[in-house]
Amino acid sequence: MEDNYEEYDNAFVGNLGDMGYGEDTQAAGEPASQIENKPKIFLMGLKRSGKSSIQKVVFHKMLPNETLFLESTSKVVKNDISNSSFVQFQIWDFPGQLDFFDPSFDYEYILNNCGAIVFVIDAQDEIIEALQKLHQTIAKVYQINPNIHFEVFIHKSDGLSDDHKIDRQRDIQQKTTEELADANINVHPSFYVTSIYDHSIFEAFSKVIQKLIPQLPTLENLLDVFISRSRIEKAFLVDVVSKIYVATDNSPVDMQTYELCSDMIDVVIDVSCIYGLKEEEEGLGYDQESHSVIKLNNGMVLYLKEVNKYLALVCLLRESNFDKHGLIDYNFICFKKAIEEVFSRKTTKAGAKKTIKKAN
Amino acid sequence: MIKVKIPSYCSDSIENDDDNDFVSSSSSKLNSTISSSPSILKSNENHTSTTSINGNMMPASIVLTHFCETHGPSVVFTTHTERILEINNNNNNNNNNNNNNNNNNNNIDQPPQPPIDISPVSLPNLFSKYNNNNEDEEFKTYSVLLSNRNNESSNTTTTTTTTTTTKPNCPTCSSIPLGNALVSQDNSNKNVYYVSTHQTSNQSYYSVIRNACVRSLSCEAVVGREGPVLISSGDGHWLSYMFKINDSRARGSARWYGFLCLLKDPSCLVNYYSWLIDCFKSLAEEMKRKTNVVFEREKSQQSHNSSMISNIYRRGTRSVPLKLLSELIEDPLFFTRLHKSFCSILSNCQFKYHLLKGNQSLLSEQYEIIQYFKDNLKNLNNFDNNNNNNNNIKKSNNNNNQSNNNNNNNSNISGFSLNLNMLNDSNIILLENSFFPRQEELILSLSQVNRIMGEDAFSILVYNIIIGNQVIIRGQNERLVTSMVSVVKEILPKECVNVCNFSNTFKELWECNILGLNTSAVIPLHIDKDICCIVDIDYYDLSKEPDDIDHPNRSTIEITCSGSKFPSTLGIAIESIYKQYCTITLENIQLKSIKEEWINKSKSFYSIKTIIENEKDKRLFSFLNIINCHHFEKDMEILMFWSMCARKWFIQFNKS
Repeated sequence: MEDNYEEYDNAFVGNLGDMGYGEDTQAAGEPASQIENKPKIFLMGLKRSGKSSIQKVVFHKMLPNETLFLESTSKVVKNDISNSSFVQFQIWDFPGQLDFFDPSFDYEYILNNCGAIVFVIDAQDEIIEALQKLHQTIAKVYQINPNIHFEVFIHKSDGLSDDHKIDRQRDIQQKTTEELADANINVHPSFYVTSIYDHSIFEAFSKVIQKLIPQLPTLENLLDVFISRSRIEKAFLVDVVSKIYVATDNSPVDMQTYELCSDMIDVVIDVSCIYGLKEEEEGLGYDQESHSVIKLNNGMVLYLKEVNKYLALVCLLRESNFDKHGLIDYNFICFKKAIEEVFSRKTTKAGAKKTIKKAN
Repeated sequence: MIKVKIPSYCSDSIENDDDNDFVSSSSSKLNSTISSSPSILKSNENHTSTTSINGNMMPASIVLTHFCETHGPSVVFTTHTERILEINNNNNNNNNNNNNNNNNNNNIDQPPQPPIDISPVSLPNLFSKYNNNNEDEEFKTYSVLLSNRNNESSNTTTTTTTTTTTKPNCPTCSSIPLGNALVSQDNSNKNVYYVSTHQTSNQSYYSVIRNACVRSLSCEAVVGREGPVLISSGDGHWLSYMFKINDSRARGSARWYGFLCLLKDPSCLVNYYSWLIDCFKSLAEEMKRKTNVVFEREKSQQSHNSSMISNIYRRGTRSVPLKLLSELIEDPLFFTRLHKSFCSILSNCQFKYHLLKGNQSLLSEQYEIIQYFKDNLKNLNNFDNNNNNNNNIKKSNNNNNQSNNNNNNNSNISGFSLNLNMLNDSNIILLENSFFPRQEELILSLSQVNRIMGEDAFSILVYNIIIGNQVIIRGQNERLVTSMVSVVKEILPKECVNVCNFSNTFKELWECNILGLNTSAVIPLHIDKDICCIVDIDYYDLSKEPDDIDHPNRSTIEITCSGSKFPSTLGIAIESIYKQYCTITLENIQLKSIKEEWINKSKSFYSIKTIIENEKDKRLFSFLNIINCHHFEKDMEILMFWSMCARKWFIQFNKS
């Protein structure tokens, strides 16, 4: 099989901005200015809507029920995930009590290099005030930087019944878009129903981060090609530490599949931490050799393989299609090579066009 | 009769109220004259009457801030100074009847009183009436109702930093009821009053405080999250001390509070830094200790029904309301006591400010206080434990013990036992010398020299050293003289000193400018007393022991000094270091930085000398103005001496 990826070259050359990727060759001591330039994701919303909980659960592996005991956030908490994660960015957790778009703050500086604003709304609480605040925030930010993505998390959905959830989402979505249209603001926020007690928060955050990756179409296409040639049902390219998926193929994401895949990462990491590390050796238990196949009793197979230091490919396929094991492995090698080429464009941004060839 | 009121914050001329008439406008005029012709007036700052107003004008306030769960960073309790210079004699208005007779009365449960207009005239009336009652009380506190005048005006302007404005019924960020105030008078300076309110009614001042509050609680990061941070910005300079207290009902079982200290003069903040932090720390520790008692008790009760707690956390609308701060500390008089502690800090700041500026005329009462403390300390050192409760230090010590033993002792009115902390610095000085008699006492620091010689003689010595005159230190004891020489030479940069530690024969100025000399040596007649300073140093003659042998501040060394003295900018700067009674390390740092500054000045002076034609050149004077040298003649001599020495040193260095 031979595919020509030339057409995607233009899609990301010169369009990378400051989005950085953790590369294997990267020096450990990165200058601070470079970290400062990482795109920022803001967590905003009213007090007690669950911003700090989201941040702690997704990026600090805090157990969801432990978040009950979090203190209220009194100042902006900057969380730099460039050291551990594939996609390098900063999460800024804002205290809900303060209005940072007040003239006494240098909000232009704050908004500098901001990629997305995640606005968290407590679905169990009154939403009127939250919607008001959301509208204010969008209006203000839109004036300064219209390119910032707005993501609305309808959070704490675990306390709502399924019907109620849909009602709430429709309600919030409708009111927000109407208000924005009235105010002539051409912004289309995305809405997600989330909860820290299930995987919905990871999925929502995955979508948020995917928007910040300029190579996303390329990655998705590579995954599409990969699964169709290998007869795989579903494939995720997952950031191992945060379990956020950076890309997936074009078939719709089923929450259960994603949960399975992210649980598999936990299993692999746990097992290799227990048995894979030598005594007194510290680390994630994740390296180039990491590879795992789990056969499920419903005739499905989970397949995990290391892509690079931060990413793993996790696939779900039928056991009957798993007979040509070697083919999948070979396709994977090609896929990995292609991924490397895609991300090496970061360093050779202005370099000559390359044709990525992939043979099967 | 002239109605006079100068609120401390108006000295900055933030706003020119029409209410501020005669004195305030005249003082601002004085201020403007100072700034417009800095060369003359500023240099004489310490000696002219303008300073007395300036010194008085130092506005100060201390604020208790809180990161409120509902309102974000908010101001809880503000104490600021009010200065009222003259009293309107026309005081037969109804103000006199409005006052609250009960000392230390907390205003909760007070019947409503007719409002008092706090600012212009009523304060002195209030205090003239009650002044003679309880003299032993440290800061008498009255609670009064403010008139609506201020509140109305405050409604018109908006704050710069918004969330919602604090509602008075919020349990965590309310203190004393809105419109009420706690008022105290300074013990030594009767023109100074301390007014505590929930939030200050002056809007421009409030927005400064509010900004500082937001910055300190929500922007500045402190290592370990609790502790002090010094913030400087265009709006001013603040010292902030953050701490958290335990509250089982609050989110994360913690509530964040902070103290803010706003002094107009940033140098004060820096100078009092460690002292202020000590004060704040002891206040914070006290609050933490008291809330911990409640916290532990409630925790043990709540462990049974933990499901209830998690419900509190999860729901946005809480079922259990948060407690008032005074309830959390279990002290209904908490804010009154806090007011007193703040007063005591502010009063001591002012007191120290005068020490710093060396304005002695204002200080007669305050020197009495120092004397008082000295006497008391002597008693304390002797472990004389018969309960003379006039002793302030002891009293607070006792209180301290009481409160340690019995946390719920509400009768402990005098508060956070800050009295002891207040005079920490002078205590240290006194303690340093309390191990009397000492054998073989040597000169170890310039502050010691200053104390032994007295300020006048010390300034003679400093002047002669910095201008390059020969300083002859005479004494019989070689070790003593050597120690003095090695301490004194630190005033000059090393390039400028030629030291002879101890010599039996006289040496000329070109041989050495700081000379340790045996008393028996003969000083030649040609030595001009005008360009030479003779210091005699020796141990006391034990047979002629004076009566005050037990005085803690006494030294076994006697130093006398003769020589000429002229004011110079550098001299004043150096002297002011030793007037503050800081620690020796701090003094050394300050001396070093002043030396560095003047080395740089001499460098630029040296380079500008090439283009100056003669001493009357106008450019020379403007240059001296630029580098802040206002005693032209003497400053120039100092600069000449320093640059010449540096040049000589450089030439020698080049040759070798």
